[in-house]
Amino acid sequence: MPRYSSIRIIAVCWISALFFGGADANPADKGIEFFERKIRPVLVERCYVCHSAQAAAKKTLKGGLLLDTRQGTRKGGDSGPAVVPGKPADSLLISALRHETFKMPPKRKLSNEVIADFLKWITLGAPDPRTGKVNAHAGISLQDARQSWAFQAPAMPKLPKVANTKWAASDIDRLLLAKLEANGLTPASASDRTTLIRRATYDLLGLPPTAEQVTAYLKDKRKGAFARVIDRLLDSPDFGIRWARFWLDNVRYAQDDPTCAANSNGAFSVGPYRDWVVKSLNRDLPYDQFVRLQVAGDLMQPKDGESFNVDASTATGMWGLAHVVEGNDREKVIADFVDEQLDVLGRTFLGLTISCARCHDHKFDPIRQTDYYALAGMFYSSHSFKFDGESARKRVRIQERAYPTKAKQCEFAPLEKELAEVEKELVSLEDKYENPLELKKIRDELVAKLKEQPQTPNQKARVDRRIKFLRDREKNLLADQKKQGWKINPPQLETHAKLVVQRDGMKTKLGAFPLRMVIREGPVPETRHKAAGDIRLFIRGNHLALGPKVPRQVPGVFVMQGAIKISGSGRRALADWLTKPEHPLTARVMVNRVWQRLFGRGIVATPSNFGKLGRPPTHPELLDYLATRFVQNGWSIKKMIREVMLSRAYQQSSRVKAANRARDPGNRWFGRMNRKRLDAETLMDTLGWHAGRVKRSIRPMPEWKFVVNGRALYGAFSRDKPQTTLDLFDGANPDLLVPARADSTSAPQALYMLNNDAVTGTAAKLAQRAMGIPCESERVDSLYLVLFGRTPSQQERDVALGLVSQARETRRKFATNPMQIENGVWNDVCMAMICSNEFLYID
Amino acid sequence: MLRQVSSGFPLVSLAAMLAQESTASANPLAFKQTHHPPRAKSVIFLFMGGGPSQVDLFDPKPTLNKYAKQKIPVKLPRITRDSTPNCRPSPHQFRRHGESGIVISELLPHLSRCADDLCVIRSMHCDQIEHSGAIRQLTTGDGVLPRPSLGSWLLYGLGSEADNLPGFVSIGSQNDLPGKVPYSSSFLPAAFEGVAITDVDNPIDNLEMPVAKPFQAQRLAAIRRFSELHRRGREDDSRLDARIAAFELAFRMQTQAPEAFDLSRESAAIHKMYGTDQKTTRDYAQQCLLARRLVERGVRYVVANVSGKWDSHANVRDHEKVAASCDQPVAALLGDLKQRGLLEETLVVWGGEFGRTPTAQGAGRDHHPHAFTMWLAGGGVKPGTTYGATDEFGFYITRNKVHIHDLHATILHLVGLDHERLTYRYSGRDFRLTDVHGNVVHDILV
Repeated sequence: MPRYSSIRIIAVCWISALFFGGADANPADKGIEFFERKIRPVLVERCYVCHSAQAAAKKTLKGGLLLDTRQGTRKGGDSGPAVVPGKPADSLLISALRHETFKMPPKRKLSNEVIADFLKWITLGAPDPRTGKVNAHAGISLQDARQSWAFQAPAMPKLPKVANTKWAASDIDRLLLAKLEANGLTPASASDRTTLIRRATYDLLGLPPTAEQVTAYLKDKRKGAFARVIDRLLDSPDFGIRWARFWLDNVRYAQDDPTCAANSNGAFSVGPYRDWVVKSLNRDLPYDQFVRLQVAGDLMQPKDGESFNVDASTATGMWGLAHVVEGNDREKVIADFVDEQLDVLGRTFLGLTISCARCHDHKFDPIRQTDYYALAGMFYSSHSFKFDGESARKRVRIQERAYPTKAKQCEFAPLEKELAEVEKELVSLEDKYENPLELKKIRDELVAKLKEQPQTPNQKARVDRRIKFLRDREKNLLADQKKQGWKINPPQLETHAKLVVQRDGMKTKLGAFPLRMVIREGPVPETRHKAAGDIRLFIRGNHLALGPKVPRQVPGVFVMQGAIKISGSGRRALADWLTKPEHPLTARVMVNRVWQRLFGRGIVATPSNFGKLGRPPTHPELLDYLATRFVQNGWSIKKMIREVMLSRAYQQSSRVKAANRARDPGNRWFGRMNRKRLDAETLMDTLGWHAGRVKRSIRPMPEWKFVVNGRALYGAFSRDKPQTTLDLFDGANPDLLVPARADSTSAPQALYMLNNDAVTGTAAKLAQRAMGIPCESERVDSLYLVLFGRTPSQQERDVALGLVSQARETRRKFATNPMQIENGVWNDVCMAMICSNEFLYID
Repeated sequence: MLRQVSSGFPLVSLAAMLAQESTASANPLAFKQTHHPPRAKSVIFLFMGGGPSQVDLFDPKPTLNKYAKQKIPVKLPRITRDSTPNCRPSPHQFRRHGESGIVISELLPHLSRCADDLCVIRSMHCDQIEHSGAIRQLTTGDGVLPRPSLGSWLLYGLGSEADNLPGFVSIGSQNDLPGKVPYSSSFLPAAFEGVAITDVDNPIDNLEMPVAKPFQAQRLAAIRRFSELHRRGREDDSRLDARIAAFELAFRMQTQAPEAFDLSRESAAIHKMYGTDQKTTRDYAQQCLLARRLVERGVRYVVANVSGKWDSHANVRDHEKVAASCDQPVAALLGDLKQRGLLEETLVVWGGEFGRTPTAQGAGRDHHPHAFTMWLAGGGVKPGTTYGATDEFGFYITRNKVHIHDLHATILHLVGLDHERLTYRYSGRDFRLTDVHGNVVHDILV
């Protein structure tokens, strides 16, 4: 480049000028004089405004660079030394003044003469009489930070005195009541039983209570009836299905990673991980174990050398859910992958936004940039994906089959190899005969679609659309065939079909040991990271600008409670540290999530951000109480849930008292239950349940076994193809960590409810069942019980019957067949009940 | 009480807002105050997917003839794909057009007649060399991680003007980046997500009524009645009323939205003008015509997608076909907006995720993010302008670089938003469409 050569020429000129220039005076004095005359005035005038202690005091310091002392100038800012005495080429200051690396000063470049002065000064050894000390790390004081509640171990609070001594039935109640009273509020009245069982069943199972369950609870007059309901619900395998979704929202659950869809990293096997989460929750695996296995289950294998702890490695699949991002730069791909892993570690497990410290010290929380790289080193020393061959763009997740023993692994190794070969052959055939294969597939689907008999206008529109698409595609392919002349039916199609059968057979045989993502020790193979070890800090987060090596460790703010001893990647020690009983955040963050799910909002309203920019806890003592109880009870999630649900706090009505309404409209102090909208999956599951598509898992503990039961959790959840319906109702975004779902109300949602087959189909089933009951008023009662979990009041019954007559009148204007009219009428009524607010909002 | 519900979207509850650390108002789509007076009310983005070749369309480089098949005498970038370094001249003729004398190649004869409306930027650049990453960057600002799309930011900043329509519509798709990144709201509330229309004939899901209209009306009345009973004692919960309002709006949309999407309501002359009557132009003509109908009805942001067709690796001459498929529709759109007085308040942006190498890759050209051309028209940009310049090979920019972030900053500026002030708190910090980058290109503004 011409630009570079000209720099070199200038440099050479100046060096020669030095040699031939004034040699008679004391060089040191001369240098200082030169600094005072030529350099200092420019620094003061043009640089100090952003790069001085004064600027730092005014919070206008830029790039961490202080140019008002010798030390600061030499040490440099975030990007490294500004001045290297005698080496202008290594001095960032020069390239910045020349507007090559940075553009400094940003508004107006200094004149060439002045830049030449700087060059000369540095070549002279950058003589500089300014002796002031740089104030290192004015930003974060770990000492101060450690005093903050979030970094101190939770302690059992002293129970407060309350004025109303009758209300509290538990410690939770007293802690809550104290705050209510302090804010001039009183608790809401108790919910009635129909409300309570509906609330509890939705909260724990994500399904409505059955009519029988409601009736049984209403009849149970013995003490402890609600406790028995809770126990029954906690024992149901449906519990794990419901609560797994909450966890999966927080780990970026998805079934694929199409960031680079053109390549081989699309779908991955996440089912076993999801099922492990369900199973662990159902078995009430203690939360500390739950965390330990996900963080480092691969390092907690049996020592007998024979068997594998399948679940433990399956749990580590969580790390593979980070994105393998775009790009041809391997280092960048790894850096971004690790960043997402640290984001999960930070936000989900610790409630801290560690990722903010990737480029600089955290602006608000006590996480230094070095803390980020101290943690990152552990994940650079582990890997969940590798590059496949030469191209950086081909990457594959690390997936292993779930063999329980070495013997099984050896037994099936040849079959796995064979399968790999068949798959390779299939890929090569599919590459070579892409067009005829596609044509065949399209024609097969076309035949099937043409046979379909859609029932509703929506279905018909969908089928027609698909047929149109297939025909277009077929036409295009045939046009291409004419042009290119490929064979429509080459013999290889048959080979392909045979291989597919063969492959499927092998997959079935291997199916007992499902493939699943895991993490492994050691850096991503075939990169510049050769072995587990510390990594160098990235200056300003730029993976090409390497700073000093940072020893692997937990963030400094926690180190007071004991540094961890690293071996291997360090994940094992990390797991141990996270689950120490006195850990200040792990238990707090999790109990807050439990509270959030049961009350609709956490005690900390930002469940994954316990830092300064999150919301402070409304009830810090209650949070500590719950965290302490949680650990005391062996980190049992079910015991935690049970204790919270048995409180009077949970059993409050969702109706607001007039007096409370004005004082606490947002229900900050939990003086009533928050009314919760069915979330996306719960709505789908409820519709499916009423339509008979969703089955309840009835098998009691402990013979729990996974059953596919039609619930939304087991449906597609792709980053590639949007889940239109779940999205519509604020389902989780599979690209992101979702600590809390949104709660939106929109016209497209209403269109779905009014017109979608899933809803109209459910209504049709309900109508059919209702019409089996001879008496119309009993039909209404039965629908109320099934859909709303209660019997209607007389007025409600009358209104419903009135609507039936109205619908009948309307229908009669357009039809004569009485059966058709009746059918229509009850469909109308069921639709209205499903679309009504009582169906969607749980008191 | 929240009575107004907008069709693209909704109302977010306080609890959800707290959890998302958001500061959005209760109805996110309510009309919002802009930061400064807007020059454009709507934006139409004509997305030329695949990467149109700047040296074959807008940025003639005769020097390439001189160096044909010779190694290009510039320093090649650190990361390249697999093209050869040998120069490939353009097979196409260029001419000056209009009073402004804007240079356009023979590939775009229709657009050439609109030359005086265009502001051609020859100095675009981005950071991504593959389609997927570059499409991400062009549509969200970030080439790597999931971020809200430009249209979502715009909607977040402006609210919607369309009563019974979504505020952000993406017609067609980009096959090189499957999924919803180009119209995703990502961490912004779902209210701001674009509605993707893959089939112009069946634009919106669940619009088809399962029963005749009187019965549907009957159902709506019954929903209202059941919910009235339910409302007693729950009057403080505004979501309940909002939901009924949403049902009423949905009911209106069932009849009105189809009208907006019904191209058959246009005259034969208009159809002829756009080219919906011709096989080669039909697809993009439909998209452009629909785009006009939508902005006419207050839709804020419309994307019309040419998917990947500009990706001429194999043969430079493949550009002829794709140019023919969209030249007339694009020119018709400009002319039509103009004749309706809509061009003044509609910003039209034309461009792809990157350009193509001035060097050869077989008989074609490879991806080129270092210098490429886009053009803007209407809503507050200087018409008849050419901005920026590239070296004599069209490889690097020599004057007035415009990064994708700068383009985004400029688009937001034109609709009345300051890209540095349009922020959203997520994951503990404030995010911007332009991250920490972006400068408004004031030179091209009226």
